[in-house]
Amino acid sequence: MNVGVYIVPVFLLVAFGMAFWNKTAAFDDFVDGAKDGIESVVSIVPNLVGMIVGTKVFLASGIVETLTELADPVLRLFNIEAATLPLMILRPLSGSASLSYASELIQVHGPDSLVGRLTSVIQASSDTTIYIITIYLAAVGIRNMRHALKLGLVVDLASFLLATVFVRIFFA
Amino acid sequence: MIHKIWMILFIIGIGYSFVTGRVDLVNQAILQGASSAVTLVFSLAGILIFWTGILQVANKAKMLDLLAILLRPVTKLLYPKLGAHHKAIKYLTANMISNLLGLSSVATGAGIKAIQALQETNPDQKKPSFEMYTLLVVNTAGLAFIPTTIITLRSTFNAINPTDVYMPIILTASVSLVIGLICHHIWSRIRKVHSSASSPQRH
Repeated sequence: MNVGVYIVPVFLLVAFGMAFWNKTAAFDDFVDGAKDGIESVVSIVPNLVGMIVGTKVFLASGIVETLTELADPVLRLFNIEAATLPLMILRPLSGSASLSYASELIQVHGPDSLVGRLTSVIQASSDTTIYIITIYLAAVGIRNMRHALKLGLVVDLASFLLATVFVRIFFA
Repeated sequence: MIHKIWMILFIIGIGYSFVTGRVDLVNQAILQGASSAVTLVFSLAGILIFWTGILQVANKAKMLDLLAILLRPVTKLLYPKLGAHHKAIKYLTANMISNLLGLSSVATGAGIKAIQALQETNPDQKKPSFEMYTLLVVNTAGLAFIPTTIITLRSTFNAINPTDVYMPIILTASVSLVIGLICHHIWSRIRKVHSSASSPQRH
């Protein structure tokens, strides 16, 4: 299961190998690209501050505990850890909100616990469906997004259920 | 839509805190949330900046062109009606590569260029075309070969082996992508969704 360890080093090796072969100004290119990186990191700070404060307020109210308690019998039926339900609700809504919630779950339960691993898989194997559909269709001025949302949420639901199955298979 | 979701978080959160008597926790959440957002950005900034730098190195070294050629069978499979010379193909490939490398902000930029190119040949510009739905499913499925963020997060909290969740992540994302594509194909056939390839490219 250690394939993952090689991906980043191999990618870097190929990139630098080809840069050598093509005699490009690799370090200048790196600095150029990294400057774009800083710009996008800085530009997401306001979005993150807005979204994280909103999420923290939502979570502090205790509504998620109420919802989780209400949904507990259903979750048991599907063998889903109740602690990860808020993450499943947040994941399609906001990348920053779900990332901060995932980080809290991993910190509290530990990265090598069942909840910690399930959190990692849920967070990494799906994306911010509603945000993606909104910005992509907004970019071409299409307002008709009902069908796209249904499709996106089917993909999310499938990946949450699959995550619980695969985590149990690999770490049982 | 994001506006409504954001405001609903506040309205429900503040409203429900009156019911549960947790108003003090809400105040605390506002103070701590703002500073924890900034802390989170700084803890992830290093690796994001590194990767955008490396992607530019790979781009200039023609590694991305090579990947585009290597991935042509995949773009052909996902977008069968779109010819190799459609303007959208290179952006669709760039979007797919950056998604697979876990570079979501790079992927978003390429994805927007791709959907704009698809809209140019969209016969009904008020409705998404078949290829646009495919692009959306591919992006919402979140399949990545390098889940950088979660691996970084796991190592921050001292996981014994931060990458041990790699296989479950890849399997979950690929199977849900296939499920999404199957639903998309069935629905598109029933609803007779038009293709971006069916009308000549506008200028």
